[in-house]
Amino acid sequence: MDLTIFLQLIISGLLIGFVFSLIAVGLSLIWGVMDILNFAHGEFLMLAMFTSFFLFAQLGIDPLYSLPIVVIVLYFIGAGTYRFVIKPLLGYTVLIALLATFGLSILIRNLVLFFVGPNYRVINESILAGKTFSIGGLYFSVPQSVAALLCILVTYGIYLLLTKSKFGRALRATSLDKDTAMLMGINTNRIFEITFGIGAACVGVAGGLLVNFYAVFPEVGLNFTVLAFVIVALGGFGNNGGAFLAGILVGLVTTMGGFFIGPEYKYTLVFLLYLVVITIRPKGLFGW
Amino acid sequence: MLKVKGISVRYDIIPVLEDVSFSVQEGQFVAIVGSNGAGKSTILRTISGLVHPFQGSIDFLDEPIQAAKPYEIVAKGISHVPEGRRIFDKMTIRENLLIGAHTKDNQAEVRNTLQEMFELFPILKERQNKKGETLSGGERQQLAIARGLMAKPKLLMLDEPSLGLSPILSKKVIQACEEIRRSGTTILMVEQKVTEILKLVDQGYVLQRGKIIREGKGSELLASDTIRKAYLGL
Ligand SMILES: Nc1ncnc2c1ncn2[C@@H]1O[C@H](COP(=O)(O)OP(=O)(O)O)[C@@H](O)[C@H]1O
Ligand SMILES: [Mg+2]
Repeated sequence: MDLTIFLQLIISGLLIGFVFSLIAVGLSLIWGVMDILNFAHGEFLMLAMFTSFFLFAQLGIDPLYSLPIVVIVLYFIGAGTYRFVIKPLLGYTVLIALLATFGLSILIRNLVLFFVGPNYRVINESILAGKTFSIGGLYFSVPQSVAALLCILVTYGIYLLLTKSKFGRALRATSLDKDTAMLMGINTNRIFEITFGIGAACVGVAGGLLVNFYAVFPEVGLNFTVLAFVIVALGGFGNNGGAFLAGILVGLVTTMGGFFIGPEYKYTLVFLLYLVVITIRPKGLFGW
Repeated sequence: MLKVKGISVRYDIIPVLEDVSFSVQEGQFVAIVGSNGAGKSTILRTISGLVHPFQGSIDFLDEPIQAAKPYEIVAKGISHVPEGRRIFDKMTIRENLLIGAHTKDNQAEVRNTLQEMFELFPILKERQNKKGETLSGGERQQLAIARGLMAKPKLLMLDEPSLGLSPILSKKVIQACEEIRRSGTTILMVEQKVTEILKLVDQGYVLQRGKIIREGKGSELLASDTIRKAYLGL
């Protein structure tokens, strides 16, 4: 087989993989601190994409410029979800909060469907959309490359925040032992709220960039929720670094599988990989 | 300094503390002794705001704190070294200590306190970059106490600090507590090991099934026949 095509596939896989990674890290972050899987994660992504899309279509703000707005909007959607949906349910088993995020995902999806309809929307002309550049005979999509680059940067930023800042230390302490963290004077409620906000802001970044090369529609989040779950499980639940690596792996598998076996099977392969890994290594590829 | 007045606490509907009253004066070393399940930890958890009493009040420095949040209570100057140490195993010893100073914003002061802790517990300095999980039982207790002191508390509360330690190590821990008290920190300790602790303290309380049944100077309690026979089993 042609080496160029192979390299081209690797590049595409990596580029989308970094976006998957950031989405999964957002999910993993919330799981790691609260043991709650946010089923509305994909819907948050969809909201990010629609926010970006309408800022572009209605107000003419390029997705690249509206990215900070989208991220802030998503932060507040996440923090608000914690405050008004999760927190009131914390006295019960975690399952209740988890089901609440499931309900929220259906609600968001249907509200969007109701207000904007089921149509696919695409941004064809923006600063990034539709452009490519080439290096040594290999083609790079500009929006995908920028998305990948920013997703790597944001993931690294989150890594620094977690490991080097006072907030990150408090967050890790809270996730290790909530009661003791409270005894240390940490306002764990605030940690939870900010973590939910940051988790959602991650999909804000991803969604605001995806919109340059991915169609927007009310059900776009479904796939991403499932993919993010699989990635987090592959990476080892609560292991943010593992989620990052697993995201890249899933990017490669979908792209390679889509090419060699057929686009209709690309997710099947991901789930197959998931089944195999989870059977052999229940704690994920990178969990110990 | 601390006045606990008639608090009653339930877990769901099960009463755990009934009408418990006691007080701690500034500079004192006070102990509450009682057997397993008497409600000792619950008293400390209630003072810390992890549990709220449905009756009674708790005043600290003349302010009511029975409805305050745990982080507000730490900021007011109460540190709680929990039962079983509860070290953050996956974090370094240094990080564990810094988390103890979470409520402190003055970084220069935090660094000073850190040095003080390293002087008080040299082993922690040596191991500062190792994970908490690498420490032995005695070292974990030293870390737990040092972490509690990082907040520069006015009142340090200790929950069975010698539990699970060899007699030599528990003696060391108790000595460290005396040193801490001498340096001006008020101490409230709850313990099962009655004899060792009552010898040292200014004021002691005996807790039995959620009720304070005796109080007095530590030495008096130890000397009292009823306590020795009926309760302490000596
Ligand atoms: N979270 C809880 N839920 C229900 N009961 C509890 C809980 N914690 C403690 N208890 C009960 O309260 C009583 C007092 O416990 P505790 O305060 O831990 O006693 P001590 O520290 O003196 O051993 C015990 O009977 C214990 O079983
Ligand atoms: Mg106890």
